[in-house]
Amino acid sequence: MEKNIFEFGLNQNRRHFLSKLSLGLGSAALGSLLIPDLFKGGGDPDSQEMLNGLAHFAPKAKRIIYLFQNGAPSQLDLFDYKPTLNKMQGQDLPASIRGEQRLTGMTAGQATFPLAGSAFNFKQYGDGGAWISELLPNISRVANDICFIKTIHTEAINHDPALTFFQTGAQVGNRPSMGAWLSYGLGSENKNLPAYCVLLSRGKGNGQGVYSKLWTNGFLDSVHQGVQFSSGENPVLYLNDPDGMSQTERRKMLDKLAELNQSTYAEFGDPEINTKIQQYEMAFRMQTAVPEITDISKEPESTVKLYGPECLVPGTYAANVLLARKLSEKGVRFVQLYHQGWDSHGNLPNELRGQCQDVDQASAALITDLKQRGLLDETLVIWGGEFGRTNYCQGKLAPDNYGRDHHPRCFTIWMAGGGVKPGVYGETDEFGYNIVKDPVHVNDFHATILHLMGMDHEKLTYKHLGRRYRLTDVAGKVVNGIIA
Amino acid sequence: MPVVFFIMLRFRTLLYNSTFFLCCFLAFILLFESRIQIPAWLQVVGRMHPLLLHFPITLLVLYGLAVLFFPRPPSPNAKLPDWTDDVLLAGAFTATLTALMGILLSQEEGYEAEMIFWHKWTGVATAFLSFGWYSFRSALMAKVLPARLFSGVAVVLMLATGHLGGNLTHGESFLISPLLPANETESVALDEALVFAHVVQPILEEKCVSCHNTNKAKGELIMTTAELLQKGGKNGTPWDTTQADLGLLLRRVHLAPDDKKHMPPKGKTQLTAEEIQVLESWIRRGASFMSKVVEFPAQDPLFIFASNRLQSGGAAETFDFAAASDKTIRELTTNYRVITPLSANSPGLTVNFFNAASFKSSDLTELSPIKEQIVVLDASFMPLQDSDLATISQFSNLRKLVLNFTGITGKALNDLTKLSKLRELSLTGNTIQSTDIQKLKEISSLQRLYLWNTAISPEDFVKIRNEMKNVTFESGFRSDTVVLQLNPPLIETKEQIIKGESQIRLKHQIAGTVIRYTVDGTQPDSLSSLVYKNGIQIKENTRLIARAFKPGWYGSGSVERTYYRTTSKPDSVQLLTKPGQQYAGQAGKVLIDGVKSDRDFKNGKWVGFREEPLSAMFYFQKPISARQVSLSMLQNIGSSIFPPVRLEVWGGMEAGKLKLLGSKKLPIPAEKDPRNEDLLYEFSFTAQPLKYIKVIAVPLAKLPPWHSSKGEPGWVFMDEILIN
Repeated sequence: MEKNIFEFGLNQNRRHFLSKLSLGLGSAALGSLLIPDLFKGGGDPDSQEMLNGLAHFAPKAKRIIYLFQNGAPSQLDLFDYKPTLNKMQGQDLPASIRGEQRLTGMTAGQATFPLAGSAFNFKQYGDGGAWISELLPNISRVANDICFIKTIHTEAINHDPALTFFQTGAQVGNRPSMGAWLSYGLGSENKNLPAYCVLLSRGKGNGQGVYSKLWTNGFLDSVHQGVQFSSGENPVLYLNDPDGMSQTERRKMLDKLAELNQSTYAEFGDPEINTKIQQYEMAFRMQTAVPEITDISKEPESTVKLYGPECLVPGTYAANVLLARKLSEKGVRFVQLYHQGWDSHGNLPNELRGQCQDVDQASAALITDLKQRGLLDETLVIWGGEFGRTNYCQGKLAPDNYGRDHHPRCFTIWMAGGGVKPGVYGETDEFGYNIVKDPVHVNDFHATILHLMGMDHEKLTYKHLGRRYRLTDVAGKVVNGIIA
Repeated sequence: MPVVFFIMLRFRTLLYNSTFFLCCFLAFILLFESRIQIPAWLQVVGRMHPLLLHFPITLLVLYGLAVLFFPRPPSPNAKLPDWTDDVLLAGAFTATLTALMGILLSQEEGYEAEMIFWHKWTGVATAFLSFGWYSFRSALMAKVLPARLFSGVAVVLMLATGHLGGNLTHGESFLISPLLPANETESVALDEALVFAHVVQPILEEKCVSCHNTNKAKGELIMTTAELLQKGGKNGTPWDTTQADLGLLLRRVHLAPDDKKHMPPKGKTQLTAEEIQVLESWIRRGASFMSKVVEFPAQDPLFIFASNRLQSGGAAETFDFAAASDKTIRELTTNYRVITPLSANSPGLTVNFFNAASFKSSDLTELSPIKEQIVVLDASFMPLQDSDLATISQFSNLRKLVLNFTGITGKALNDLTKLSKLRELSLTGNTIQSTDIQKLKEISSLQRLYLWNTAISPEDFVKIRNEMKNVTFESGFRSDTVVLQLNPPLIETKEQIIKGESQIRLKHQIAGTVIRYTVDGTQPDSLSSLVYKNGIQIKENTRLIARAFKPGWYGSGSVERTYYRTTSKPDSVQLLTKPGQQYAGQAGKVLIDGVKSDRDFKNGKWVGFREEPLSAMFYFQKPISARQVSLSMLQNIGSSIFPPVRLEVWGGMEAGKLKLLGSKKLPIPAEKDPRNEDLLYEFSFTAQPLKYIKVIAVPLAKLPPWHSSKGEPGWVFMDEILIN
């Protein structure tokens, strides 16, 4: 036996070694043929995965219209009915309820925190029995299609970080916005329009600014950036050819321009150059696609009555909602509206009345309109602000006048269509200050939205500066309770 | 014979080397598994895995058995028969190849990671083990006991791999399923899931039925069917919603785990906290056997439990047709016809059309290569012909069809009856009659019909709703009964100074609206006020008020704007006195720029005087004929801007010989007067030729006692002179 082993050892000569080695190397070489990007150097597996632009699994919703109520509407005066506050009107907020909550500079110095009940009447609507304020009669009427999430909570207490958090999943800027992520993950449905459009309007209430960083592409390719539509009569400026320029000439010019850009790209390899070529091409196609959409003169009169006559006045919330519906109907993946003026630190009853007048009819109309076109089940409508408002009064509490400060611990956002289950989700305490049941963090909110769109929020990643980023960063759970 | 031997030897070497090669290859593939993409031809090789795997099983088991059971020859040098070596080599070769193919096959979709894990690694282990077995057989097989032990382990590993593989192909309990009672629960979508059958019953089956079935009915309770469960056992019915603890079943569940009567008994698998909540919620809501999960509120534990179970990411519909090739999809996709799979793994396709101007009927017929795969088709706003519906009816797997505003009539709707899987159909915005809808009755799969903005009357809707009970109709919003207030008309002419015969334009966005206006300061009404046609010409300075009216709407609120008319513009201007430092208004040029400024007196469009009276001379190169001079001025009490106390307008053909054309003495405003407004002073005189006009405006010398700056001099501000 030992002799055998010895002989075996003697047989292992250099030729043997080399022949075996070549076999091993050969097998590795053959295997490497199966890895397309092995020798491409710096090949980004993420972009490879994402090129398909397909949902990870069958989506419930294909498009989103996000009616962002910028400035934070008071949930306590609109959806989160708390009669206790009326009963305890003027009494101090118990310290046990407030806990360690960080306050803004605007009320941190207040000696007392007098509870302020809502000045408005509430009633229950829909099969889910959702409480809705008298300020929103139209939304009340479509309550059966709405899922009210009463327990959204955030970490930020000031507008800019809170807004940025909602839009990008992080409080500091520079991350891609939700719409940009969706454009990156799912691509554009209609190649003749941007996948991500932004519309702005302003109410009469105390306003807070919106900035283009909210619809940024961040580190994603700049084709995914939100395109802001102008609030004037021409939503897209400079779209028409100047006098004397024909379509064929424009085409020729773009072809030549693309050639030049191509040669620059060949020289420098900057992907942004490719983006630019694509953008020029899309702008060319938009010349025919946009007028078709922005021409509201052909809307039937019933549409005007549905959204309210203001929908024909460019730049109003109603006009933007109508435009959002038209864009969405034409395959724009994500339409983001911002309506400013909800920051009611003082004079809340008056300001809120005005703001609700602006948005109530058109918001409800959007649901009705999508429904009658067979689009509600594939379009997700989201309505809400960046945080809530406090149950105590900021400044002097008068019987018919009060103000509310920022409140991050709980507030209400509603969604409709797109695979959400109508009803009421979550519960806050009787003071409307803390969450009692089923909290939904902003990260959870994002995870759920991505889920509805057919995306696994943990798989929608982009590698940047050596790490992979997600919209939900390192957190977020899908809230199954609101999914139909 | 030596030749044969030589060939055999070469063949063995070849086979051995090939095995080594394959082992290396396998190791490499495993190392880079996540990055591998399998070309189609290799997929074919991978799919031969189930064929080849039988060889290593047979060969290795054969060799193993030979080692285990071959009678040990008496001589210490004696070996197993020669053929066994070849069997082992062939076994090792086929085992490695099989493992490799298996890896390739596993890259394809449709295998659950968890299930495949053990099969993969036992398979890989078998491959490497068998190669090692052959390589070191002389050393390994030298002693009886280790050799038999090793062979035993190898055979067991081999069989385990085979069994796991069989489970993959045939299902988990394929082997022993004939021995098990049949209790197949089909997967069901959350929308359709029943509370009892799909949520509660599986819990009972898992945790209770082993003791409470027809064979073994502990406590005479049988929980296998709804009827028997409701009947209860010897201790009574399982639930009673009138009691605080909801009755027997939950009472026993909630007992302390050590209690003799606790259910399930100690030692058996216990119910989880969530499962208990589910049972509780189900019983509290009446223990219904037919209600659906979706009838439960969203935050009910039962709903959450069910939604977590029944809907793991993609529990969507599965289709029984094959996917179209990527190439076909790419070729058929254009900028205006977008084809996308429902999701990455779905063979179903969505087709969307855009840009009505470029649509042709051939865009639909071209889709025939994917006619099986189209599940959703949206052709909204495309100019369809009735004949196009015949093309669409060939897309036999359509689930949702959207034909909003396509111009089709109802005549061809019976073509759609061929779509036997159609669930949603939207015909919004087409001239469809209720009789056309009758044809759709034949589509038994139809669930929703969208018929807003069609020719169907509300009465007809009542009728067809009754006739087609299985279908939900969306009739949409009807505007005829809604009366709203119109929004005010838009004033398009923003510039307030109207030159000569220029026209003022108004408009309203809603077609068919009548705009009525007045020029006399009264509110327009819907009967007697002037109707706006193509523009308004004014003869003098005018306050225009307009409202909009339309049948079926309340009249709008009013809009108003003051217009100033001017026919001649002075050619130059000279300020004769010194204006306030910041209010020189480009040395008075703003007075003749033809633009009415807004009320922001700091915007540079105003001239302001305080220390000295305003005195300005206006020149015309050619004499003009004038009958009126108007001065546009400002009052802003808070900023001490008051009306002038005295105004004078002079004119003539020579600078030295001016005549007074008009003058005004103005009162000081009282405290309650409006604080901020435009002022207009008109001076009319008999028409005469003029070359020079001089204007003097004297500011208030001392502000009145009620003003915050009382006693100080006031300002006068002027922005324009208008000559008619």
